This record gives sequence, C-alpha cells and structure tokens, in this order.
Amino acid sequence: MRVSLSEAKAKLSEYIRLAQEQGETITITVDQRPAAELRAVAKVFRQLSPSEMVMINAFSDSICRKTVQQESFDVLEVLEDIRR
Amino acid sequence: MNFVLDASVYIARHSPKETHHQRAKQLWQLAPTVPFHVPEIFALEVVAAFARLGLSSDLIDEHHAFMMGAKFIVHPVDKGLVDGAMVVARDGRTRSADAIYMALAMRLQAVFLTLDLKLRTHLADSTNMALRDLNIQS
Repeated sequence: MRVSLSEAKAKLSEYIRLAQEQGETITITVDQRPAAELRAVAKVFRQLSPSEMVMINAFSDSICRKTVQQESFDVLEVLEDIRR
Repeated sequence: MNFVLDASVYIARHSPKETHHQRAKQLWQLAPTVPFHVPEIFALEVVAAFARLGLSSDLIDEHHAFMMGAKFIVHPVDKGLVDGAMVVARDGRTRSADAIYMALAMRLQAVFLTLDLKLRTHLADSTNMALRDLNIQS
C-alpha cells in the first residue's frame, strides 16, 4: 500500500496497526516517489534453553545413526517425485 | 533471526548416505539456539520420503515425534499462507509445495534453508515483487 508523507503523518497509528496485525507494508512517498517503508518488526520467537539444545542435538544424532538407507540417494530426486 | 527449514535439509541431515548430507548438517547448524519454522506439510513430506526410502514404521514414527517437538514451530497452511503461496507460484513459477515454504519464509522474514539451488534462485528473483503482493493480500 502506498501513502503520501502527509497521509502517513495523519494516520501513523492506523498504519502501524495495519503493519502489526495484517503484515501490511506501507510505502511512504515523497513527491509521488517511494521514499520509505513502514512494516512490522519480525516477530521474535522463543530461544531454546541449553538443556533443550542438548537433548535435541543428542536425539537428532541418535536418530541419524539409525536412519541408514541401503544405498546412496539424492533427496532432491525423492522430493521431486513427492512434490510432482 | 528466523529460519524456515525445507524438508530436503531434514531428510539429508538425518540420512548419512544422502548425497548432500554434509551440506545439510552445515545448514542445520546455522540455527542451534532457535526452533525451525515449518509449514504443516513438512512432516508429511519427510514421512512420505522416508517411507519411499524403505525406513521402518517405528523409525518413521521416531522422526515424526521429533518433528512435533521443541525444535520445530509448525505453521498451519491457512488461507493467508495459501494466498501468499499463490503469488509466489504465479511470479516464481514454482511448484505448489515450494511456494508454501517460500511464502512462509517471506511472512516471517526468515532465512529459507533448502538444498534446492533452483528454488533459492527463484526466491531471490521473485522475492521483491512477491513480498509486495503478499502484503496486499495477507
């Protein structure tokens, strides 16, 4: 969505709400040319705790050791079939 | 930083005989402290691939349980994501599943981890236009 600088000034709260709630990016124009963009900050999701990281890595390595196919293969070819 | 994980990386990371295994391990290690974001179809694709590759049901179930755990944030393929994927598919001429992953990455402003170089090129080429359209439709 494009708005002029004067519109942006007048409705800044509304545009911030649109960016936060609907993921809208508002392009602000000066002299009808894009000059800046207003968008929500990327949502920050939680970090893994140290104990979770240890457990995850251990489980991932463990499950990997068990996942040994008979022959070598290319995953992209397998997914090509599945996604066709 | 957020990371969207393609099924290709998961499968190769956990398959020592896969051609890209080492590369997948490197990609996996880019996000040691945060969960990966995946669309709902991710686990289905992994399960389907492992079944085709002849893994036992028990082992596939272990993978499934892992994919439902703390390392993954599963996003529903809802109308907003599908709308975004349509724009990606239209502009990038991608397959539908690829478009869903790419739309999720754009929605989260995330790094998309995939072994598919063609897909990465598509993403780089189409991101700017697709992002704008995505924001209009979401």
